Amino acid sequence: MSLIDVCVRKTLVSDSSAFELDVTFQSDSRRIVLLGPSGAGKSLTLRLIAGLIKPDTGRIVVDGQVYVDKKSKLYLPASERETGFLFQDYALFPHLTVRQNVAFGLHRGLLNPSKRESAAQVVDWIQKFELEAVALNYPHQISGGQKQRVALARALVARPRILLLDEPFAALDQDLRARMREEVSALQTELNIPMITITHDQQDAEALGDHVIMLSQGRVQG
Amino acid sequence: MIHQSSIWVPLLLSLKVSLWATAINAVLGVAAAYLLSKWRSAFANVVDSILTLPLVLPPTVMGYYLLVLLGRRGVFGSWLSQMGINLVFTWQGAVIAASVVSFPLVLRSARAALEGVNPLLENAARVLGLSEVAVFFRVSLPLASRGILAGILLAFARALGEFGATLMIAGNLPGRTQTLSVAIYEAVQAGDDDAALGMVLVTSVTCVVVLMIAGRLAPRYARQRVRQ
Repeated sequence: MSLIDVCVRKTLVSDSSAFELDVTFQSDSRRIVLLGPSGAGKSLTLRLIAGLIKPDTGRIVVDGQVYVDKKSKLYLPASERETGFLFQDYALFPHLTVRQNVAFGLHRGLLNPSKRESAAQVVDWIQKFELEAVALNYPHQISGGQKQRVALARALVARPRILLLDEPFAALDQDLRARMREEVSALQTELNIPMITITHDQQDAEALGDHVIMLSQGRVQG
Repeated sequence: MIHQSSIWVPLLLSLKVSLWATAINAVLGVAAAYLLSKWRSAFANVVDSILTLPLVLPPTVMGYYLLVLLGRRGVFGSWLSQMGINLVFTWQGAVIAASVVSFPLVLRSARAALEGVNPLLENAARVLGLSEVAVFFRVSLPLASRGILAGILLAFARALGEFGATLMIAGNLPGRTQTLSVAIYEAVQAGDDDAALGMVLVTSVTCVVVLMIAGRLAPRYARQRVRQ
């Protein structure tokens, strides 16, 4: 059985058009890149894996854990998939400090982590990403690179099964882009966590993909 | 006759009734707004319109409906009176009148505020392992809180000024169900202009202050949104 096994179909219908996604790929690589132009269905594929959208039919298995299997009517909700998702604009919680954002996934109850949260993993990640100075700041008070690090720390703190990156560097300028690319690449090597990156940027694909899958018009190419 | 010193009795009763009505609406109005904001169906707007009716119907019409429902021979009223509960001509009846009439103000503000929360943030919370209930209390509610609070304050001001439905269901019993707005009416009828003026001023100032606070809350909540 492959590390990642995805075979999904999803038709999205809007008033003016219909988009059909039919993506199948297997991989044993821990560095997968889905490469393609915008509108190819990359983001949709990632959301299907994370459980933010339900597929019409198909099967998704990640590291031995079945996320979706239409045949056996199995559907794991997003909250039980243990994926780390890095959103394009980071989606940091604007009402919580950096520290609270990082600690968010460690608390599953009805209350947000306190401003003085001091769990070891939270402290470690804040240190690792050099966020100590801004730990008590709110997301709108920190730089783009820092936001990305907070989002990464938040995704990784609960030790996810897989890391999903949605156009991770699209919001950054050229210099920062190159630096963050290296940082993410080194991080993946260090943690040895399976990672799927989606991008339209060839350079991202070269830096972060051992297995590059080309996507176009909702289908895997080649 | 109402004397200056007796402003306190209807004022305190009005505050008690309005605070209860506001507390009830803060729970029911926000819950209804949340359900409507998640319910992706054309039917949701039909329900929304029905729940907004108390905003546009004359309060006397609402009072009539409440009497039909809650009166001793009413649909619920007969059932309640078997259990020894009577709402007509009680301050609790006034609370229900004030709640029903001000409910749409909470519903509308809360629904708009909850629908204004970036769905990406709710998705981020789901991926991080939160149940739908936890997503509501930890992300949606805090991000919508200013809009909701503005609606709650408006509802409080509306409840404070409630007259028609209250008079019909709770009546005009001094010291028991005579709220400020009902007392003003009686004072004017009785020609007690001083008492009327005092109560009018107290009501006006309270409402202006509440509206000013509500006005300050509403725009700032919009700034908390992040771009899509």
